[in-house]
Amino acid sequence: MKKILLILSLIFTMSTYAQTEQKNSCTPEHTFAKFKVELFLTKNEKSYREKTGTIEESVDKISAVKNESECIALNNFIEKNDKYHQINQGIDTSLKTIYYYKTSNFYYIFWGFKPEYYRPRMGPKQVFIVVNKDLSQHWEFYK
Amino acid sequence: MKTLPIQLLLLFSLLLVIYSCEKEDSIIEQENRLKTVALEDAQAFLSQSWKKNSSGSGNSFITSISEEINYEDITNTDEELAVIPVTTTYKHLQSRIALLEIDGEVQSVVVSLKPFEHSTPGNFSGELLITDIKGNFIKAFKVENNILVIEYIIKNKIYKNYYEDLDKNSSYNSNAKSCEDFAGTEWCIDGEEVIVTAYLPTPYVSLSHMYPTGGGGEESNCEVGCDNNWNPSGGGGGDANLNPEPEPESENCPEGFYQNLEGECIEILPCNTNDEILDSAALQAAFADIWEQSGALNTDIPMESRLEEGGWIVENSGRFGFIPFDSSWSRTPCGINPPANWASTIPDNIVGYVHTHPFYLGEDRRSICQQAEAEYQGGPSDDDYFLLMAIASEVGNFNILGFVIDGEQITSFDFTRTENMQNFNRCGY
Repeated sequence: MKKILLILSLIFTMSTYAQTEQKNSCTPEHTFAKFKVELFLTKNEKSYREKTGTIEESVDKISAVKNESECIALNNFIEKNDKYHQINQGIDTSLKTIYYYKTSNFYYIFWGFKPEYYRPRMGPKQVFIVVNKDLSQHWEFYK
Repeated sequence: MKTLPIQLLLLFSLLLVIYSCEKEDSIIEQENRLKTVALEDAQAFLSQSWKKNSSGSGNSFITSISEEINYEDITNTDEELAVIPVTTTYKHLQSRIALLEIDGEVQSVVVSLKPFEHSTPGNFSGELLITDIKGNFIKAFKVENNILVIEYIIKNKIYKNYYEDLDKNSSYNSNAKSCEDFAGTEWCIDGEEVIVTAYLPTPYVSLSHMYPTGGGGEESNCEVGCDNNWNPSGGGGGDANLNPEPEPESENCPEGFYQNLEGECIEILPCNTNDEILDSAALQAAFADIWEQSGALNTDIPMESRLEEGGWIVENSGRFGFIPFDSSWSRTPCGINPPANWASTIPDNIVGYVHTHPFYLGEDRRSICQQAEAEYQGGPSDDDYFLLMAIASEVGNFNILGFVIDGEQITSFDFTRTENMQNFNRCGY
Protein backbone atom coordinates (compact mmCIF):
# COMPACT_ATOMS: atom_id res chain seq x y z
CA MET A 1 0.00 0.00 0.00
CA LYS A 2 2.85 2.36 0.93
CA LYS A 3 4.58 1.60 -2.37
CA ILE A 4 1.45 2.48 -4.31
CA LEU A 5 1.07 5.73 -2.42
CA LEU A 6 4.72 6.57 -3.05
CA ILE A 7 4.38 5.87 -6.78
CA LEU A 8 1.18 7.92 -6.95
CA SER A 9 2.78 10.82 -5.16
CA LEU A 10 5.82 10.64 -7.47
CA ILE A 11 3.55 10.64 -10.53
CA PHE A 12 1.60 13.56 -9.10
CA THR A 13 4.80 15.52 -8.41
CA MET A 14 6.20 14.82 -11.87
CA SER A 15 2.99 15.74 -13.63
CA THR A 16 2.75 18.98 -11.65
CA TYR A 17 6.37 19.78 -12.49
CA ALA A 18 5.78 18.96 -16.14
CA GLN A 19 2.72 21.23 -16.16
CA THR A 20 4.75 24.06 -14.67
CA GLU A 21 7.40 23.59 -17.31
CA GLN A 22 4.76 23.63 -20.01
CA LYS A 23 3.29 26.87 -18.65
CA ASN A 24 6.73 28.47 -18.46
CA SER A 25 7.43 28.01 -22.16
CA CYS A 26 4.92 30.68 -23.02
CA THR A 27 4.69 34.16 -21.60
CA PRO A 28 1.88 36.10 -19.98
CA GLU A 29 -0.71 38.13 -21.82
CA HIS A 30 -1.03 41.80 -21.05
CA THR A 31 -2.94 44.71 -22.54
CA PHE A 32 0.18 46.86 -22.45
CA ALA A 33 2.12 44.21 -24.40
CA LYS A 34 -0.58 44.03 -27.06
CA PHE A 35 -0.61 47.80 -27.21
CA LYS A 36 3.16 47.83 -27.76
CA VAL A 37 2.82 45.59 -30.81
CA GLU A 38 -0.09 47.66 -32.07
CA LEU A 39 2.07 50.75 -31.67
CA PHE A 40 4.73 49.13 -33.83
CA LEU A 41 2.22 48.31 -36.55
CA THR A 42 0.44 51.66 -36.54
CA LYS A 43 2.24 54.53 -34.87
CA ASN A 44 5.98 53.89 -34.71
CA GLU A 45 8.11 55.02 -37.64
CA LYS A 46 6.74 53.72 -40.95
CA SER A 47 10.28 52.84 -42.00
CA TYR A 48 10.26 50.09 -39.34
CA ARG A 49 7.30 48.44 -41.00
CA GLU A 50 8.74 48.87 -44.48
CA LYS A 51 12.02 47.35 -43.39
CA THR A 52 10.41 44.30 -41.83
CA GLY A 53 7.62 43.85 -44.35
CA THR A 54 4.99 44.11 -41.61
CA ILE A 55 3.16 46.92 -43.35
CA GLU A 56 0.25 44.65 -44.29
CA GLU A 57 -0.02 42.96 -40.90
CA SER A 58 -3.41 43.46 -39.30
CA VAL A 59 -3.72 44.71 -35.72
CA ASP A 60 -6.79 42.49 -35.39
CA LYS A 61 -4.51 39.49 -35.57
CA ILE A 62 -2.29 40.55 -32.67
CA SER A 63 -2.29 37.90 -29.97
CA ALA A 64 -0.03 36.41 -27.36
CA VAL A 65 1.75 33.24 -28.47
CA LYS A 66 0.05 30.42 -26.61
CA ASN A 67 1.02 27.41 -28.66
CA GLU A 68 3.57 25.41 -26.68
CA SER A 69 5.71 24.38 -29.63
CA GLU A 70 5.86 27.97 -30.89
CA CYS A 71 6.88 29.17 -27.43
CA ILE A 72 9.63 26.55 -27.23
CA ALA A 73 10.88 27.59 -30.65
CA LEU A 74 10.95 31.25 -29.61
CA ASN A 75 12.73 30.34 -26.37
CA ASN A 76 15.35 28.51 -28.45
CA PHE A 77 15.67 31.53 -30.71
CA ILE A 78 16.47 33.70 -27.70
CA GLU A 79 18.84 31.16 -26.18
CA LYS A 80 20.84 30.86 -29.39
CA ASN A 81 21.34 34.58 -29.77
CA ASP A 82 24.08 35.75 -27.37
CA LYS A 83 22.80 39.30 -27.06
CA TYR A 84 19.18 38.35 -26.44
CA HIS A 85 20.20 35.53 -24.17
CA GLN A 86 22.18 38.01 -22.05
CA ILE A 87 19.27 40.42 -21.90
CA ASN A 88 16.97 37.59 -20.87
CA GLN A 89 19.40 36.47 -18.18
CA GLY A 90 19.91 40.05 -16.97
CA ILE A 91 16.33 41.00 -16.20
CA ASP A 92 14.92 40.94 -12.72
CA THR A 93 12.55 38.03 -13.18
CA SER A 94 10.64 38.88 -10.04
CA LEU A 95 9.43 42.07 -11.75
CA LYS A 96 9.88 41.59 -15.48
CA THR A 97 9.24 39.00 -18.11
CA ILE A 98 9.76 38.34 -21.78
CA TYR A 99 6.69 38.72 -23.99
CA TYR A 100 5.95 36.70 -27.15
CA TYR A 101 3.29 38.11 -29.42
CA LYS A 102 2.39 37.40 -33.02
CA THR A 103 0.38 38.46 -36.04
CA SER A 104 -0.33 36.40 -39.17
CA ASN A 105 3.25 36.32 -40.48
CA PHE A 106 5.51 37.62 -37.72
CA TYR A 107 6.48 37.19 -34.09
CA TYR A 108 7.27 40.11 -31.78
CA ILE A 109 9.59 39.67 -28.81
CA PHE A 110 10.30 42.20 -26.07
CA TRP A 111 10.76 42.52 -22.32
CA GLY A 112 8.67 44.45 -19.86
CA PHE A 113 7.15 44.50 -16.43
CA LYS A 114 4.93 41.58 -15.46
CA PRO A 115 1.24 42.45 -15.65
CA GLU A 116 0.97 42.64 -11.87
CA TYR A 117 3.80 45.19 -11.65
CA TYR A 118 2.95 47.25 -14.69
CA ARG A 119 2.00 50.87 -14.37
CA PRO A 120 2.68 53.87 -16.60
CA ARG A 121 6.18 55.22 -16.14
CA MET A 122 8.93 57.06 -17.96
CA GLY A 123 11.74 54.89 -19.23
CA PRO A 124 14.36 54.45 -21.92
CA LYS A 125 13.79 53.07 -25.38
CA GLN A 126 14.16 49.32 -25.19
CA VAL A 127 14.82 46.52 -27.59
CA PHE A 128 11.90 45.22 -29.68
CA ILE A 129 12.53 42.23 -31.93
CA VAL A 130 10.50 41.30 -34.99
CA VAL A 131 10.97 37.75 -36.26
CA ASN A 132 9.51 36.19 -39.38
CA LYS A 133 7.34 33.11 -39.07
CA ASP A 134 10.02 30.51 -39.84
CA LEU A 135 12.47 32.28 -37.48
CA SER A 136 14.98 32.64 -40.30
CA GLN A 137 15.13 36.42 -40.20
CA HIS A 138 14.84 39.00 -37.47
CA TRP A 139 15.04 42.78 -37.04
CA GLU A 140 15.92 44.77 -33.97
CA PHE A 141 14.45 48.14 -33.01
CA TYR A 142 14.64 50.42 -29.98
CA LYS A 143 11.39 52.05 -29.07
CA MET B 1 -33.21 128.04 -24.57
CA LYS B 2 -29.92 129.90 -24.50
CA THR B 3 -29.25 128.74 -20.96
CA LEU B 4 -29.49 125.02 -21.85
CA PRO B 5 -25.88 124.63 -23.10
CA ILE B 6 -24.64 126.46 -20.00
CA GLN B 7 -26.74 124.17 -17.76
CA LEU B 8 -25.37 121.09 -19.52
CA LEU B 9 -21.81 122.35 -19.16
CA LEU B 10 -22.34 122.97 -15.46
CA LEU B 11 -23.85 119.50 -15.02
CA PHE B 12 -20.89 117.91 -16.81
CA SER B 13 -18.41 119.85 -14.67
CA LEU B 14 -20.24 118.79 -11.52
CA LEU B 15 -20.10 115.14 -12.53
CA LEU B 16 -16.39 115.47 -13.30
CA VAL B 17 -15.70 116.97 -9.89
CA ILE B 18 -17.71 114.23 -8.14
CA TYR B 19 -15.86 111.50 -10.05
CA SER B 20 -12.45 113.04 -9.27
CA CYS B 21 -13.27 113.36 -5.60
CA GLU B 22 -14.44 109.74 -5.37
CA LYS B 23 -11.27 108.52 -7.03
CA GLU B 24 -9.14 110.66 -4.74
CA ASP B 25 -11.04 109.33 -1.73
CA SER B 26 -10.46 105.72 -2.71
CA ILE B 27 -6.73 106.33 -3.07
CA ILE B 28 -6.60 108.13 0.26
CA GLU B 29 -8.60 105.31 1.86
CA GLN B 30 -6.21 102.75 0.40
CA GLU B 31 -3.12 104.61 1.42
CA ASN B 32 -4.42 105.22 4.90
CA ARG B 33 -4.49 101.48 5.56
CA LEU B 34 -0.71 101.30 5.13
CA LYS B 35 1.59 103.51 7.15
CA THR B 36 5.30 103.76 7.58
CA VAL B 37 6.41 102.53 10.98
CA ALA B 38 8.03 105.51 12.69
CA LEU B 39 11.68 105.13 13.64
CA GLU B 40 10.98 105.16 17.38
CA ASP B 41 8.16 102.60 16.95
CA ALA B 42 10.41 100.37 14.89
CA GLN B 43 13.16 100.60 17.52
CA ALA B 44 10.65 99.83 20.27
CA PHE B 45 9.31 96.84 18.35
CA LEU B 46 12.79 95.44 17.79
CA SER B 47 13.84 96.08 21.37
CA GLN B 48 10.76 94.29 22.67
CA SER B 49 11.30 91.36 20.31
CA TRP B 50 14.95 91.08 21.27
CA LYS B 51 14.18 91.18 24.99
CA LYS B 52 11.68 88.36 24.57
CA ASN B 53 14.28 86.47 22.62
CA SER B 54 17.04 86.95 25.19
CA SER B 55 14.78 85.98 28.07
CA GLY B 56 13.78 82.81 26.26
CA SER B 57 10.11 83.75 26.17
CA GLY B 58 10.27 84.68 22.51
CA ASN B 59 11.63 82.55 19.72
CA SER B 60 15.10 81.49 18.82
CA PHE B 61 14.64 81.95 15.07
CA ILE B 62 16.23 85.41 14.95
CA THR B 63 19.77 85.23 16.28
CA SER B 64 20.83 88.86 15.92
CA ILE B 65 19.27 92.18 14.94
CA SER B 66 21.18 95.04 13.36
CA GLU B 67 20.84 98.49 14.85
CA GLU B 68 20.50 99.89 11.37
CA ILE B 69 16.97 100.66 10.15
CA ASN B 70 16.47 101.47 6.48
CA TYR B 71 13.35 102.81 4.86
CA GLU B 72 12.63 101.38 1.42
CA ASP B 73 10.13 102.35 -1.24
CA ILE B 74 6.80 100.62 -1.75
CA THR B 75 5.23 100.96 -5.17
CA ASN B 76 2.06 102.97 -5.61
CA THR B 77 2.24 104.68 -2.23
CA ASP B 78 4.34 107.26 -0.45
CA GLU B 79 4.55 105.03 2.61
CA GLU B 80 7.79 103.14 3.19
CA LEU B 81 8.82 99.78 4.54
CA ALA B 82 11.09 99.74 7.60
CA VAL B 83 13.78 97.17 6.85
CA ILE B 84 16.24 95.84 9.41
CA PRO B 85 19.03 93.35 8.61
CA VAL B 86 18.94 90.29 10.87
CA THR B 87 20.55 86.92 11.13
CA THR B 88 18.44 83.86 11.71
CA THR B 89 19.04 80.22 12.38
CA TYR B 90 19.41 79.97 8.58
CA LYS B 91 22.82 81.61 8.76
CA HIS B 92 23.49 81.23 5.05
CA LEU B 93 20.44 83.29 4.08
CA GLN B 94 20.44 87.04 3.78
CA SER B 95 17.55 88.00 6.02
CA ARG B 96 15.78 91.21 6.93
CA ILE B 97 12.80 92.07 9.05
CA ALA B 98 10.26 94.18 7.18
CA LEU B 99 7.95 96.30 9.33
CA LEU B 100 4.80 98.02 8.13
CA GLU B 101 1.85 99.49 9.97
CA ILE B 102 -1.38 98.02 8.60
CA ASP B 103 -4.69 99.23 9.94
CA GLY B 104 -2.94 100.75 12.96
CA GLU B 105 -0.92 97.67 13.89
CA VAL B 106 2.78 97.06 13.31
CA GLN B 107 3.11 93.93 11.19
CA SER B 108 6.42 92.12 10.81
CA VAL B 109 7.84 89.47 8.52
CA VAL B 110 11.30 88.10 7.84
CA VAL B 111 12.28 88.08 4.17
CA SER B 112 15.26 85.86 3.36
CA LEU B 113 17.09 85.51 0.10
CA LYS B 114 19.38 82.83 -1.20
CA PRO B 115 20.95 84.02 -4.44
CA PHE B 116 21.98 81.45 -7.03
CA GLU B 117 25.56 81.40 -8.25
CA HIS B 118 24.60 83.09 -11.49
CA SER B 119 22.79 85.93 -9.74
CA THR B 120 24.36 89.27 -10.49
CA PRO B 121 23.85 92.77 -9.11
CA GLY B 122 20.76 94.16 -10.78
CA ASN B 123 19.76 90.74 -12.16
CA PHE B 124 18.68 88.64 -9.22
CA SER B 125 18.18 84.90 -9.41
CA GLY B 126 17.58 82.86 -6.33
CA GLU B 127 15.13 81.64 -3.74
CA LEU B 128 13.03 83.95 -1.61
CA LEU B 129 11.54 82.81 1.65
CA ILE B 130 9.03 84.79 3.70
CA THR B 131 8.41 83.71 7.30
CA ASP B 132 7.02 85.33 10.39
CA ILE B 133 9.53 86.40 13.03
CA LYS B 134 9.23 82.98 14.68
CA GLY B 135 10.29 81.29 11.47
CA ASN B 136 6.87 79.99 10.47
CA PHE B 137 6.48 79.62 6.73
CA ILE B 138 4.43 82.23 4.88
CA LYS B 139 5.54 82.17 1.25
CA ALA B 140 8.37 80.93 -0.94
CA PHE B 141 9.33 81.93 -4.44
CA LYS B 142 11.91 81.20 -7.02
CA VAL B 143 13.23 84.22 -8.89
CA GLU B 144 15.04 83.80 -12.19
CA ASN B 145 16.64 86.86 -13.77
CA ASN B 146 14.41 89.26 -11.87
CA ILE B 147 11.27 87.33 -12.76
CA LEU B 148 9.19 85.62 -10.11
CA VAL B 149 8.81 82.36 -11.95
CA ILE B 150 7.62 79.95 -9.31
CA GLU B 151 5.60 80.19 -6.14
CA TYR B 152 5.97 77.23 -3.82
CA ILE B 153 2.89 76.34 -1.87
CA ILE B 154 3.62 73.93 0.91
CA LYS B 155 0.73 71.59 1.45
CA ASN B 156 2.50 69.42 3.96
CA LYS B 157 5.27 70.67 6.15
CA ILE B 158 7.68 67.83 6.19
CA TYR B 159 11.09 68.22 7.64
CA LYS B 160 14.29 67.21 5.99
CA ASN B 161 15.19 64.78 8.76
CA TYR B 162 12.05 62.81 7.99
CA TYR B 163 13.17 62.41 4.41
CA GLU B 164 16.68 61.52 5.45
CA ASP B 165 15.29 58.74 7.64
CA LEU B 166 13.06 57.65 4.80
CA ASP B 167 15.99 57.68 2.45
CA LYS B 168 18.05 55.37 4.65
CA ASN B 169 15.36 52.74 4.35
CA SER B 170 14.84 53.24 0.66
CA SER B 171 16.40 51.20 -2.10
CA TYR B 172 16.62 54.37 -4.12
CA ASN B 173 18.92 57.19 -3.17
CA SER B 174 16.91 59.79 -5.01
CA ASN B 175 14.52 60.81 -2.26
CA ALA B 176 17.05 62.98 -0.51
CA LYS B 177 17.77 64.84 -3.73
CA SER B 178 14.16 65.28 -4.70
CA CYS B 179 13.45 66.53 -1.21
CA GLU B 180 16.17 69.10 -1.59
CA ASP B 181 15.57 71.53 1.18
CA PHE B 182 14.22 74.87 0.14
CA ALA B 183 16.89 77.56 0.24
CA GLY B 184 18.97 75.42 2.58
CA THR B 185 16.35 75.45 5.32
CA GLU B 186 14.83 72.41 6.96
CA TRP B 187 11.77 72.85 4.82
CA CYS B 188 11.02 70.20 2.27
CA ILE B 189 8.56 71.26 -0.36
CA ASP B 190 6.30 68.24 -0.27
CA GLY B 191 3.25 68.11 -2.49
CA GLU B 192 4.50 71.33 -3.92
CA GLU B 193 2.38 73.38 -6.19
CA VAL B 194 4.04 75.82 -8.47
CA ILE B 195 2.41 78.81 -9.97
CA VAL B 196 3.95 81.16 -12.42
CA THR B 197 3.22 84.64 -11.26
CA ALA B 198 3.00 87.84 -13.26
CA TYR B 199 6.14 88.95 -15.00
CA LEU B 200 7.40 91.96 -13.18
CA PRO B 201 10.41 93.92 -14.35
CA THR B 202 12.25 93.47 -11.07
CA PRO B 203 11.83 90.99 -8.24
CA TYR B 204 9.00 92.89 -6.61
CA VAL B 205 7.05 91.04 -3.98
CA SER B 206 3.49 91.99 -3.32
CA LEU B 207 2.78 93.17 0.22
CA SER B 208 -0.26 90.90 0.09
CA HIS B 209 2.18 87.95 0.06
CA MET B 210 4.21 89.37 2.91
CA TYR B 211 1.30 90.42 5.09
CA PRO B 212 -1.59 88.06 4.28
CA THR B 213 -3.68 89.74 6.95
CA GLY B 214 -4.03 92.98 5.10
CA GLY B 215 -1.16 94.32 3.06
CA GLY B 216 -1.18 95.29 -0.55
CA GLY B 217 -4.34 96.90 -1.80
CA GLU B 218 -5.06 97.63 -5.41
CA GLU B 219 -5.39 100.87 -7.19
CA SER B 220 -5.32 102.24 -10.68
CA ASN B 221 -2.38 103.99 -12.31
CA CYS B 222 -0.15 101.50 -10.60
CA GLU B 223 3.58 101.63 -11.07
CA VAL B 224 4.20 97.90 -11.08
CA GLY B 225 1.44 95.34 -11.30
CA CYS B 226 -1.67 96.68 -9.61
CA ASP B 227 -0.86 96.53 -5.93
CA ASN B 228 1.75 97.57 -3.39
CA ASN B 229 5.06 95.88 -3.95
CA TRP B 230 8.52 95.92 -2.44
CA ASN B 231 11.77 95.03 -4.13
CA PRO B 232 13.59 92.87 -1.58
CA SER B 233 16.76 92.70 -3.66
CA GLY B 234 17.62 96.21 -2.64
CA GLY B 235 15.59 98.36 -4.96
CA GLY B 236 14.91 101.24 -2.65
CA GLY B 237 16.51 103.30 0.01
CA GLY B 238 18.48 100.71 1.88
CA ASP B 239 22.06 99.78 1.38
CA ALA B 240 21.56 96.07 1.53
CA ASN B 241 23.61 94.21 -1.00
CA LEU B 242 21.64 91.05 -1.43
CA ASN B 243 23.24 89.98 -4.65
CA PRO B 244 26.52 88.18 -4.20
CA GLU B 245 29.67 89.45 -5.75
CA PRO B 246 29.92 87.66 -9.07
CA GLU B 247 32.41 84.86 -9.20
CA PRO B 248 35.45 85.84 -11.23
CA GLU B 249 34.48 83.49 -14.05
CA SER B 250 30.89 84.85 -14.10
CA GLU B 251 32.29 88.07 -15.44
CA ASN B 252 33.02 86.19 -18.62
CA CYS B 253 29.31 85.78 -19.33
CA PRO B 254 27.74 88.68 -21.18
CA GLU B 255 24.34 90.03 -20.21
CA GLY B 256 21.55 87.71 -21.21
CA PHE B 257 23.59 84.62 -20.37
CA TYR B 258 23.98 82.68 -17.19
CA GLN B 259 26.84 80.55 -16.07
CA ASN B 260 26.12 76.90 -15.48
CA LEU B 261 27.91 74.73 -12.98
CA GLU B 262 30.58 73.97 -15.53
CA GLY B 263 31.33 77.63 -16.01
CA GLU B 264 29.74 77.75 -19.45
CA CYS B 265 27.70 80.78 -20.47
CA ILE B 266 24.18 79.68 -21.34
CA GLU B 267 21.88 82.01 -23.19
CA ILE B 268 18.74 82.80 -21.23
CA LEU B 269 16.97 84.97 -23.74
CA PRO B 270 13.67 83.45 -24.88
CA CYS B 271 14.00 81.60 -28.13
CA ASN B 272 11.09 81.79 -30.48
CA THR B 273 10.09 78.28 -31.52
CA ASN B 274 6.52 79.13 -32.51
CA ASP B 275 5.44 76.58 -29.95
CA GLU B 276 3.38 78.50 -27.39
CA ILE B 277 4.51 76.29 -24.53
CA LEU B 278 8.19 76.37 -25.38
CA ASP B 279 8.09 80.12 -26.00
CA SER B 280 6.84 80.75 -22.46
CA ALA B 281 9.67 82.43 -20.53
CA ALA B 282 8.49 80.87 -17.29
CA LEU B 283 8.59 77.38 -18.76
CA GLN B 284 11.98 77.99 -20.32
CA ALA B 285 13.24 78.85 -16.84
CA ALA B 286 11.58 75.72 -15.44
CA PHE B 287 13.05 73.57 -18.21
CA ALA B 288 16.50 75.02 -17.56
CA ASP B 289 15.99 74.23 -13.90
CA ILE B 290 15.04 70.58 -14.35
CA TRP B 291 17.90 70.14 -16.80
CA GLU B 292 20.33 71.44 -14.17
CA GLN B 293 18.73 69.18 -11.57
CA SER B 294 19.27 66.23 -13.91
CA GLY B 295 23.00 66.71 -13.50
CA ALA B 296 23.85 66.26 -17.17
CA LEU B 297 25.33 69.64 -17.94
CA ASN B 298 28.05 68.06 -20.06
CA THR B 299 29.18 64.71 -21.36
CA ASP B 300 32.01 64.44 -18.80
CA ILE B 301 29.55 63.98 -15.94
CA PRO B 302 29.27 60.24 -15.17
CA MET B 303 26.02 58.86 -16.51
CA GLU B 304 25.23 57.00 -13.32
CA SER B 305 25.16 60.26 -11.36
CA ARG B 306 22.53 61.83 -13.62
CA LEU B 307 18.81 61.61 -12.94
CA GLU B 308 15.65 62.04 -14.94
CA GLU B 309 13.57 64.97 -13.70
CA GLY B 310 10.21 66.26 -14.80
CA GLY B 311 6.81 67.61 -14.00
CA TRP B 312 3.43 68.77 -15.16
CA ILE B 313 2.83 71.71 -17.48
CA VAL B 314 -0.27 73.63 -16.46
CA GLU B 315 -2.13 76.62 -17.79
CA ASN B 316 -3.76 79.28 -15.62
CA SER B 317 -5.69 81.99 -17.44
CA GLY B 318 -3.48 81.81 -20.50
CA ARG B 319 -0.22 81.62 -18.54
CA PHE B 320 1.82 78.46 -18.48
CA GLY B 321 3.27 77.08 -15.30
CA PHE B 322 5.28 74.10 -14.13
CA ILE B 323 4.69 71.71 -11.24
CA PRO B 324 7.50 69.25 -10.50
CA PHE B 325 6.57 65.59 -10.09
CA ASP B 326 6.06 64.73 -6.46
CA SER B 327 9.31 64.22 -4.62
CA SER B 328 8.25 60.71 -3.65
CA TRP B 329 8.47 59.54 -7.28
CA SER B 330 11.69 57.59 -7.64
CA ARG B 331 14.16 58.90 -10.19
CA THR B 332 17.00 57.05 -11.91
CA PRO B 333 19.21 58.05 -14.86
CA CYS B 334 16.92 55.94 -17.07
CA GLY B 335 13.43 56.71 -15.86
CA ILE B 336 10.93 58.04 -13.36
CA ASN B 337 8.66 55.61 -11.59
CA PRO B 338 5.43 57.11 -10.30
CA PRO B 339 3.76 55.43 -7.33
CA ALA B 340 0.53 53.46 -7.64
CA ASN B 341 -1.56 56.56 -6.86
CA TRP B 342 0.20 58.65 -9.50
CA ALA B 343 -3.03 59.63 -11.27
CA SER B 344 -4.31 61.44 -8.20
CA THR B 345 -1.43 63.91 -8.50
CA ILE B 346 -2.39 65.12 -11.99
CA PRO B 347 -3.31 68.81 -11.71
CA ASP B 348 -6.71 69.85 -13.05
CA ASN B 349 -5.31 72.44 -15.44
CA ILE B 350 -2.72 70.15 -17.03
CA VAL B 351 -1.78 70.75 -20.66
CA GLY B 352 1.29 68.56 -20.83
CA TYR B 353 4.10 66.77 -19.08
CA VAL B 354 7.83 67.12 -19.48
CA HIS B 355 10.78 65.05 -18.39
CA THR B 356 14.48 64.93 -19.08
CA HIS B 357 16.61 62.25 -20.66
CA PRO B 358 19.95 63.18 -19.08
CA PHE B 359 21.97 62.02 -22.09
CA TYR B 360 23.53 63.34 -25.26
CA LEU B 361 22.92 61.89 -28.71
CA GLY B 362 25.25 59.01 -29.37
CA GLU B 363 26.09 58.23 -25.73
CA ASP B 364 26.32 54.54 -24.89
CA ARG B 365 24.23 54.09 -21.74
CA ARG B 366 23.77 50.33 -21.89
CA SER B 367 25.78 49.87 -18.69
CA ILE B 368 23.12 51.71 -16.70
CA CYS B 369 19.92 51.43 -18.76
CA GLN B 370 18.94 47.84 -19.42
CA GLN B 371 18.13 47.00 -23.04
CA ALA B 372 18.94 50.53 -24.21
CA GLU B 373 20.31 51.21 -27.68
CA ALA B 374 24.08 51.34 -28.22
CA GLU B 375 23.93 55.02 -29.08
CA TYR B 376 21.30 57.23 -27.46
CA GLN B 377 18.83 58.22 -30.19
CA GLY B 378 16.76 60.86 -28.41
CA GLY B 379 12.99 61.29 -28.43
CA PRO B 380 10.27 59.65 -26.36
CA SER B 381 10.19 55.92 -25.71
CA ASP B 382 7.08 53.78 -25.93
CA ASP B 383 6.91 53.99 -22.13
CA ASP B 384 6.93 57.80 -22.32
CA TYR B 385 4.10 57.57 -24.85
CA PHE B 386 2.11 55.10 -22.75
CA LEU B 387 2.31 57.53 -19.84
CA LEU B 388 1.04 60.33 -22.07
CA MET B 389 -1.91 58.19 -23.12
CA ALA B 390 -2.59 57.17 -19.52
CA ILE B 391 -2.65 60.85 -18.49
CA ALA B 392 -4.91 61.70 -21.44
CA SER B 393 -7.28 58.90 -20.44
CA GLU B 394 -7.32 60.02 -16.82
CA VAL B 395 -8.20 63.63 -17.61
CA GLY B 396 -10.29 62.89 -20.72
CA ASN B 397 -8.21 65.20 -22.88
CA PHE B 398 -6.21 63.82 -25.78
CA ASN B 399 -4.64 67.19 -26.59
CA ILE B 400 -2.18 66.73 -23.74
CA LEU B 401 1.39 67.07 -24.99
CA GLY B 402 4.58 65.34 -23.95
CA PHE B 403 8.02 66.96 -23.95
CA VAL B 404 11.41 65.31 -23.63
CA ILE B 405 14.51 67.39 -22.91
CA ASP B 406 17.91 65.87 -23.58
CA GLY B 407 21.39 67.29 -24.03
CA GLU B 408 20.79 68.30 -27.62
CA GLN B 409 17.12 69.03 -28.16
CA ILE B 410 13.56 69.18 -26.93
CA THR B 411 11.10 66.78 -28.53
CA SER B 412 7.36 67.30 -28.37
CA PHE B 413 4.89 64.51 -29.06
CA ASP B 414 1.19 63.87 -28.83
CA PHE B 415 -1.28 61.00 -29.11
CA THR B 416 -0.15 60.28 -32.66
CA ARG B 417 3.21 59.14 -31.24
CA THR B 418 5.37 60.04 -34.27
CA GLU B 419 3.13 61.87 -36.73
CA ASN B 420 3.22 65.24 -34.96
CA MET B 421 6.54 64.74 -33.24
CA GLN B 422 8.78 67.81 -33.45
CA ASN B 423 12.36 68.48 -32.42
CA PHE B 424 13.37 71.92 -31.18
CA ASN B 425 16.81 73.28 -30.48
CA ARG B 426 17.53 73.79 -26.81
CA CYS B 427 17.94 77.55 -27.40
CA GLY B 428 19.99 77.89 -24.25
CA TYR B 429 17.40 76.57 -21.83
